[in-house]
Amino acid sequence: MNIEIKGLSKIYPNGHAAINDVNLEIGSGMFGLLGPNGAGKSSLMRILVTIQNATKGTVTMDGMDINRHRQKIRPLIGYLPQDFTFFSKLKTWEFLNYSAMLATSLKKKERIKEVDRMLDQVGLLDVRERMANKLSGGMKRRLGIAQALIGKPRLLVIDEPTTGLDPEERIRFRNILSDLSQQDVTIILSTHIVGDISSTCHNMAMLHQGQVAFHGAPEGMIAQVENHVWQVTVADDEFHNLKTKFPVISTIPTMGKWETQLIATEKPHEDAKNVAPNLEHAYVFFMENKLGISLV
Amino acid sequence: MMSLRNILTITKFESKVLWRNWFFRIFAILILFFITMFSIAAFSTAGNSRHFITANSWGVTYAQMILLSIGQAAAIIFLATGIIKKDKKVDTNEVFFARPVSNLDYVLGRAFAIFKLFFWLNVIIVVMGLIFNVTNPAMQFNPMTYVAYPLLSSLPSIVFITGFSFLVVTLIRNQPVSIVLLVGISAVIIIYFFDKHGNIFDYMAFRLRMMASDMTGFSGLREILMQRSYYLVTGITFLFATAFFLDRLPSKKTTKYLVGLVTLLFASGSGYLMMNLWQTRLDSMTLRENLIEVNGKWANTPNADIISNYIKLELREDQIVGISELVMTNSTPDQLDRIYFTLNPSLSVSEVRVNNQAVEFGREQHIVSIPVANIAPNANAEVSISYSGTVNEAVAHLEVDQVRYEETEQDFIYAIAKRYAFLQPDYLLLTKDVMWYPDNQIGYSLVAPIKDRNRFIDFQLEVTTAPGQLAISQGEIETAEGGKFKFTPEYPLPQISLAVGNYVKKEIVVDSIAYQVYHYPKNDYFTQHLDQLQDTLSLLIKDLVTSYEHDQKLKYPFKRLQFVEAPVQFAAFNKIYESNQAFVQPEMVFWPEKGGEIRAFDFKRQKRNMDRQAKEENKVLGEREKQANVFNNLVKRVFTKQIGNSWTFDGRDADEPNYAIFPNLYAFNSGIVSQKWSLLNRSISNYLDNQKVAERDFSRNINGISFAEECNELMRESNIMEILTEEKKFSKIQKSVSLKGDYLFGYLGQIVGEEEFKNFIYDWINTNNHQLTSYDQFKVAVLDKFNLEIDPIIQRVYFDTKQPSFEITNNQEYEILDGDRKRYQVIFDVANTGENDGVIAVNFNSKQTSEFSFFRQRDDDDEAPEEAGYLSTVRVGETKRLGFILDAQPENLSINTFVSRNIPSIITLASGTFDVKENARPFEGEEIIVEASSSPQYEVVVDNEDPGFTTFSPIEPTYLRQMIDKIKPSNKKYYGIWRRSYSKWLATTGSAFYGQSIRSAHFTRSGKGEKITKWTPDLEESGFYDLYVYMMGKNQNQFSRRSQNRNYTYQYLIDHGDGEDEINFNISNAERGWNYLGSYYFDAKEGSVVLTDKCEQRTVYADAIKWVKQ
Amino acid sequence: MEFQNGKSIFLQIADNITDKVVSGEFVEGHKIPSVRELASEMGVNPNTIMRTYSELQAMSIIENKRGIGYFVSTEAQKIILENKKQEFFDKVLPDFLRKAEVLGISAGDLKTHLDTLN
Repeated sequence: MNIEIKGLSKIYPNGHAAINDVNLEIGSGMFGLLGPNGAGKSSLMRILVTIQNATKGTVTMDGMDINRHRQKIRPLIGYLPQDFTFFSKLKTWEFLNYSAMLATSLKKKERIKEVDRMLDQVGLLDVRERMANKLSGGMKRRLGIAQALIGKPRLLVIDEPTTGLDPEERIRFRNILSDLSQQDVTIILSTHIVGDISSTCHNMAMLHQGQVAFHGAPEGMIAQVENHVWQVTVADDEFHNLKTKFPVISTIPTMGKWETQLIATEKPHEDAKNVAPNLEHAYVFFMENKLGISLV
Repeated sequence: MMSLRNILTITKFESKVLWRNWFFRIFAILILFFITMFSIAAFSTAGNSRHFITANSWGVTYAQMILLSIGQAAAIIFLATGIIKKDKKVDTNEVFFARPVSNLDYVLGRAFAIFKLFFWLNVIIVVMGLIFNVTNPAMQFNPMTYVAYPLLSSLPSIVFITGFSFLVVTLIRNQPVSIVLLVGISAVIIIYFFDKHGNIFDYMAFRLRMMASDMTGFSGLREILMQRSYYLVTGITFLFATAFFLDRLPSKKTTKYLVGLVTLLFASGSGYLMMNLWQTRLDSMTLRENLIEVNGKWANTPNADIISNYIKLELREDQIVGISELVMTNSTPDQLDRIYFTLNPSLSVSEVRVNNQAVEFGREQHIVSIPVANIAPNANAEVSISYSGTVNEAVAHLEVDQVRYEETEQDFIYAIAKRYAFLQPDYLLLTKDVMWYPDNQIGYSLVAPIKDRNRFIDFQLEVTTAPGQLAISQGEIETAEGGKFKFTPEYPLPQISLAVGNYVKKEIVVDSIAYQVYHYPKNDYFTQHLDQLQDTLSLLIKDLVTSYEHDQKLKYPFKRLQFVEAPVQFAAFNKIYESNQAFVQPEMVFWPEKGGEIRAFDFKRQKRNMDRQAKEENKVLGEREKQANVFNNLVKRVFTKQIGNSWTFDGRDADEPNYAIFPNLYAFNSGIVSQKWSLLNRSISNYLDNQKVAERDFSRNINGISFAEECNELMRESNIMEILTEEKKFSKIQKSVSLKGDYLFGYLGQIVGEEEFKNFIYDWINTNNHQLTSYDQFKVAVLDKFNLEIDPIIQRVYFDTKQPSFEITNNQEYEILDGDRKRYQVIFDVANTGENDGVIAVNFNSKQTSEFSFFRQRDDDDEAPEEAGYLSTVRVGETKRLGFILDAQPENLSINTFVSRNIPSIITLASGTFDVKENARPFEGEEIIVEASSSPQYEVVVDNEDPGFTTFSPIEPTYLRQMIDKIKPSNKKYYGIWRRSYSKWLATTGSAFYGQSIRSAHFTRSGKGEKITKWTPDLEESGFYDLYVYMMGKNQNQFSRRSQNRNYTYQYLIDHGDGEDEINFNISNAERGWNYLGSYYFDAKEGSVVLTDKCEQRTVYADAIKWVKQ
Repeated sequence: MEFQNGKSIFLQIADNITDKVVSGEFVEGHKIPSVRELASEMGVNPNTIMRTYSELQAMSIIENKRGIGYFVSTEAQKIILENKKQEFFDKVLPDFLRKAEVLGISAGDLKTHLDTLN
């Protein structure tokens, strides 16, 4: 699915602008949405899944304006919000069946088969009969994904997909998503966890205070931080000195000294050496230098 | 906008979720348990419930629905507010429905989930009822009830409260507050609006009158359907409104507006229904007001009397078409240029002919006025009126105020509508109250009392009914092909009535009077209980008739007596000017469907009671004997009132149904008509009717004074004519009229001789059978026979408000020897210290009641005396000594002061021991005492009514009591002994207490001695005084099995000239009257006696203390 | 005290008291129990005692000294004997004579017995 967002704004009656003049183009595959809290990620996503109305601007999906073609667009969307943890008293398979009934028009036998297939795909088939509110956190997220996917959506919007999941769950999740992205499905991920994006997304945007700070491939963002990531091993006092001046990415104690990575536009220390940047470095660099948010 | 598939999907799963909700499961279990227990008790063979509960085939499900109604509404409020509540943050449910599911789908889906759940609950309950019904042979099976009541009661209630809850919680966005609001509104409706405004606000159908009759089906079905539809439609409106206001998903503007439009459409539908309902009720009220006003306009317009009325009636579905041919006569002294009739306003008059000429006529509501060419006095005119239409029941019983009119009739838990006439294709019941034929009597108005008619009417009635129906009316019947019935009453009558239905007739002729029972074939529950009486029935009837005629001293004057079963909704009110309720008509009594709530009709239970009693007394009763007893019991309790109830609460129920046939002996047969004294005939009827009144009246126990005394108080303030027009409480009007009537005739009887006067009236009636006589004739006859002018006496009695006040003193009782015979002498003095002459009636009762009878607390004040007794007039200021010599030792002596200032108005003094008095001069009769006997010693009595009596209590009443007192402040002076206050001394009245004209005492719950009463005498001389305290008798006449042999004491503190003494006075040896307490020296103007509340009995009484100088 | 049927209680009590006066248990001029004491002793209502005392007072057998109580009057024995004699002549004797006549006992039969009296 192709999504074009033009001049989108959401301004609340009290004047606060959750999103301010956002322009984005999103194609198939995984798209990452990065940004601190309050950046406007959730608002943008709610508008995309038609739960909320924008104040200004347009969103077109495959040429269809969401304001005018709601009924046509909604069946194409699957949404998994951050707080998808409250389930009423239905069994796992019943819950998915319920979603399936609303999202698809399959006949009963077909539908149950599809439900089971989906459960299998997210690894919940053996807890099929368990009450949904008695699933573990990770299982609930997986159930959430299952209900988002059951309608065979063309657009999947996921808010904080792996927050709170253990590494195994996280990997499993990413695999499910990457399998999906093979098809003509647009997946929009919004997350704090930079690793989610770097590992899977080929396109991303960074939002800050309702505006787009960066839009493009992750590599592009990383490129901007080339030569600005330094690694140096220093003693305590020097380390403290450095800490106050530059944002520190990581610190590893090594034989009484500190091996630290930090971001600086110029060489921060005579022993400092450049290292290959990753998306996290880019994120910090952006926040510090481009957006003036001090992470020190 | 709306997808059925989505809705059904949501319903399927949400109902599953609701079902798994612990709240619903607990509720379902509780309500099912409760209803099951109830159903077992009421409807199963194990239950032993009374006949009328199971008799009506519609009852089962109606009862269950009523029991379910409140709980169901509460449960829905909780559940519905829960599933639509709005959460602050976007959560699962919100997002879940980020699907192509519209708001409407969402709302309707969840609503249907609730409907589904409660539908199944109702089904289970209904099936349970079905099982009980089918397994109980005593119950008829009526499949309609299983469908009708759930649909009428539950369905609209469920839809309404669901919709209402949804809407409230959507607008308020807070579940707990919504619940409180909804529950609060429902509680207010139940408590405050319980029966008001015709149950319009009763959304749960808790009190809506939906009882159906096995004879005529639903009553007021149109109104019922309208009310229920209103709530159904309003519920749907609320659902759509919820979808409109629900802030869930943004949708297309057009969709939203469409939903809004549909909401408005439904809202207007519901608005229309409500308007209609409201208007229907208002219309009825307005009509009644108009009729009363019109009556007022015509009340004093002279009119001709009706000699005969030949009515030809054709029944067409729910209309009647009739011609009434009347012969009128001008009994006024003047020429008449106009005559008028009353006729139901819904019957339109098509033609009026006078002396065979068509004439113009005017119509004002129910008045048809016909200008005529002057009719000379004593001249006749023939009038024929053609009319057709329906009969509007609202015209009946105009004198009943709106509250009493709308009070719901309740049997058990069934709420029954009140109908005064029936006109439907399969059933008809018309009485003169609904003016179904032209008559000339103007009814109730605010400006004039209702005038009696001057003459009875010669009726003839021809009715054409549908095939298979039976018509019932007064007179001899001739039937012809094609459902034609002709009725020719043998005698002139004041009114006729007509019933038409699928009746079955049972008849037996005894002593040339035909006794007929008409009932509906399916309602024959009684034949099986009376089947052994075939041969003996005529004997039984003969005995009953003989004993009744003997008791009443009047003969039954008609040739037949018909007992006609009437539908359960047929209701009647007591009237002031008529001595019969609509149930009793000439030659006819309408008995309630299957016996209604009347115990005497519950034959099975009566027989069972008989068996039990027989077993206790080791007797064996044959079936025939039992049946005969049951039959006699029914007749004597219900139709002749020769057996009275054991207790009553006088004044409470103004309109208790009365099926006594006495009006046939007097009011329908004869009468003394006075244009001046419109109450006279009614009073005569009261006076002649020797029906048994209830044995015990509890109004004093509850109110502190009896209902009769309340009315006496009323009559001190207003004369009887004022009471008739101004008093709001009907039962007071009725009682006052009856008391005044008793008094009037007691007075007349006393002057002339009671027996002679009564016999004179009986003779008068017997000479004037089947006709009305005028008061003037009667007055002249009385003057002739007794040389007495009754007019001024009546005038005084009716208009006087001054009342006598009697003090009874010097009561002596002893045994005397009359030759070899032991006889008993009773003497007492009665002084009239009031403002008017008065009459007293003295009676002696020699009944032996067990000491431990539950009801015997004090002297039997409120027990009805057996006969009229000895009458004596005591003039103002006079004192008379009365002496009686009896053959049997009396238990007590009762003095009825009629209308007086006395409280109690009937003073009952229990007799003590009759010591032998030797050489006593027997005194029988009365003599006037010039000098009151006074004791030679100086005496001072302080009674609890005197200023020298004070009470003190340091105990605060409970918070609840304070609240109640603030909301309903009561300025009552006296309280019933059933209200034993633990914080105060309250005053009550009774014969056993000391008093001059008011016999009262203070009482309180016994305690630790904190509450006290104090008597402070005003002694003129110092000296030694003997103290006496007034007691009711041994242990203050409070008996209980446990405490027979215990001794109780009252704690008195005497503050006398030489100090203080504490006395524990043994009340277990006390006698009735003054009891010696002790002797002390008192200084003039000083000293007191105090009684504390410390006692081991439950109640402490403080009455009077007497100081007697030595 | 045991009460018998047939005669009113208060008369029985009065007899009891006069007996005691005659026997000397109640001494002339001395105090007798108060109303309440006697009532409590006999287990009867003080009213009954009150009535008895009033009767006896009316017959001058006892007198009430204010504030102190009831005393046997000095002439009590004499009065009691007088009253009893009167009763004998009014009731017992005529009864006796009547019975004798019915049984056919003559005056002569009786004379011997009468002689035993002084």
